Amino acid sequence: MTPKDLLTEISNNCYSYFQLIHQVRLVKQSLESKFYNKDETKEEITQEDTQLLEKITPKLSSITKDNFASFFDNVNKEISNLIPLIVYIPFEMPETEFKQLGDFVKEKFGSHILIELRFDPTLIGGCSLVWKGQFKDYSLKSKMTQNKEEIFSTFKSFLK
Amino acid sequence: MTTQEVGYVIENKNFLVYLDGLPTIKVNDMVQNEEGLRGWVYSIYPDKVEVLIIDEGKLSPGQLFRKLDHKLTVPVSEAILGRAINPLGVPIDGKGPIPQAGLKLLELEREAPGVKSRQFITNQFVTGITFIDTIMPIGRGQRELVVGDAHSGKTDFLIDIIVNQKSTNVICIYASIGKQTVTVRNIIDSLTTNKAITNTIIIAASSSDPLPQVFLAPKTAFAIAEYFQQKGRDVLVILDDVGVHARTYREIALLSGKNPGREGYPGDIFYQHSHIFERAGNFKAEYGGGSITALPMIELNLTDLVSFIPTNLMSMTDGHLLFKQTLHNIGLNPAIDIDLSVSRVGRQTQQEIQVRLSSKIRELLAHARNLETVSRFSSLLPKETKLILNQKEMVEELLSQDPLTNIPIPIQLILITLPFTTFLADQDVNFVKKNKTTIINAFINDYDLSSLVNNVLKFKTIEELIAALEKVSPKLKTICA
Repeated sequence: MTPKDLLTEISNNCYSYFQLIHQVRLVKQSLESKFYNKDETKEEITQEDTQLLEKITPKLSSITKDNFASFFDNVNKEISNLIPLIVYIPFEMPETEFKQLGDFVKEKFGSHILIELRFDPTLIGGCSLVWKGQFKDYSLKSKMTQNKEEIFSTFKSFLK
Repeated sequence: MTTQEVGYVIENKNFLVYLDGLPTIKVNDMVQNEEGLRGWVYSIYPDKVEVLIIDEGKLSPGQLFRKLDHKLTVPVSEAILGRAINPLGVPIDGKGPIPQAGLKLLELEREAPGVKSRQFITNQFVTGITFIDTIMPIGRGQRELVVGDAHSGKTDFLIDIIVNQKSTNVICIYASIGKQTVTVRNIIDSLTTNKAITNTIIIAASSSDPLPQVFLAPKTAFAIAEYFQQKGRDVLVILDDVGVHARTYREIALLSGKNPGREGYPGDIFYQHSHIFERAGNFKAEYGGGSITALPMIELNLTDLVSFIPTNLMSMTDGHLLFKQTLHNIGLNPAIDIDLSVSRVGRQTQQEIQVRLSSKIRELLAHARNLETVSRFSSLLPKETKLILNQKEMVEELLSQDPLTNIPIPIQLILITLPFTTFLADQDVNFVKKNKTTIINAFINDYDLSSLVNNVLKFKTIEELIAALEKVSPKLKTICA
């Protein structure tokens, strides 16, 4: 398994950029404990994490004590090249909705796309997206700013 | 839906920030974060964008910067005359905001106008300082480097030039680069006291300001100069001091990891200065018609004239005035070394009589210096040698001028011709020292003498001028008796 294959495997099973980093860390720690008898991780492991580890571990036979360090150096390089889809939303999204969003993005744009959620209450409603340095604003704040004059004149007509 | 280009901070080194994203960004574009901190795009790498942060504020990795739809600009209008601003156009003189009416945003980073927009320099830039106007003339549109030792009177000389422009239509722009705030305050006060602030704009990036602002100060000075030049005005730009600007750029370049070259300066230091000075010149009417005269100043490190930056600057200007502390200490003002200074353009703007007199004075001084060497070995000197040495002393005294004085060109010419007349033939330097001001005042105020003053520039030869002065010699003797 190459570093790229590992990341593809993990990204197919997670939705967010931070989940991917967390899962890579789990894989690394599991191998460290195997090679160097280190303690198991103290990080919180979900059911999905356990399933992923069970799925991936048999495929990691090519990683030995000798190439372990260089393999994960290359994994880190690959991670630095990943471009997440950054989504700004005005509320904290429940996990079930996040999964729905993740499934939607993977279905529409490919299974390798990862999301990075950011919380911005000033958006009021809607969302903003950042992809490869392009910022697209679909928020209510942006709409209201665009139609500021119209909104003000409407309010003023009520005041009369 | 609105679309913008954005980038996130991936690295931060003091005032340098590296951003990802921003797919179509170009050098000199502007970015701004949510807190309003503005950045100026300085370099672009395959994976990141290097930005100089020009406002003060805190930065941290992950911050969002948006690309702005305008370049780095400074707001300019007639209302900034008499004001002191920072390189971003913010007033720093405590006189309140600059009126918004008529303000025009001008880009700081502009390519210098091409050769087709320029014309031959024909008009003299009159400084009111005898040494400059007669011996080392400056043309309107010329770039003349002011270079010299510390404490040799360079800044005072530049302030004198600004003060002497108050009765002319010339706009003076003084860019104070990396000086202490108190020094900037003193310059503002000095110009205000001498009523020269009304036609002057001071651009000051003091040593406590963000380093990118110090780097931008000369660009702002030239952007403002171009605004007035395009309105047909003659502008004087003084950059004090370009050495600090070079060191500032070295600091930025070293911090950004650019390869250091000679004396640690980056490879493009020559370009950084030359493309600023190239914006000076005398322009054709269809390009505005005005002129930009540049007087960049640099202080020498331990009188080392041949170090990297001064020699760079000499090669990109039209001459230089070398100030020496030793000359300043013996009372010469301006303390300019005549042998090591040069003005390559100014001579073509002088009248015939000025050129002839200037050559004669140079010849006299050079000849006298040779004779001085010989005279050290002999106590009895021939009469001719004594005369030449006496004339040299008198000429040097007449070329030396008190600070904040303005001598009109015709009187300058009369003064330096007097040592060749019978009026001063039997006198010495002490007589000149004692009566210099009296003679100047006589030529300004006396009706009979003032008619000669009005005709001085019409003379074709020095002999004609000497003959005219011989006629008024008895009157001068009476005045100085």
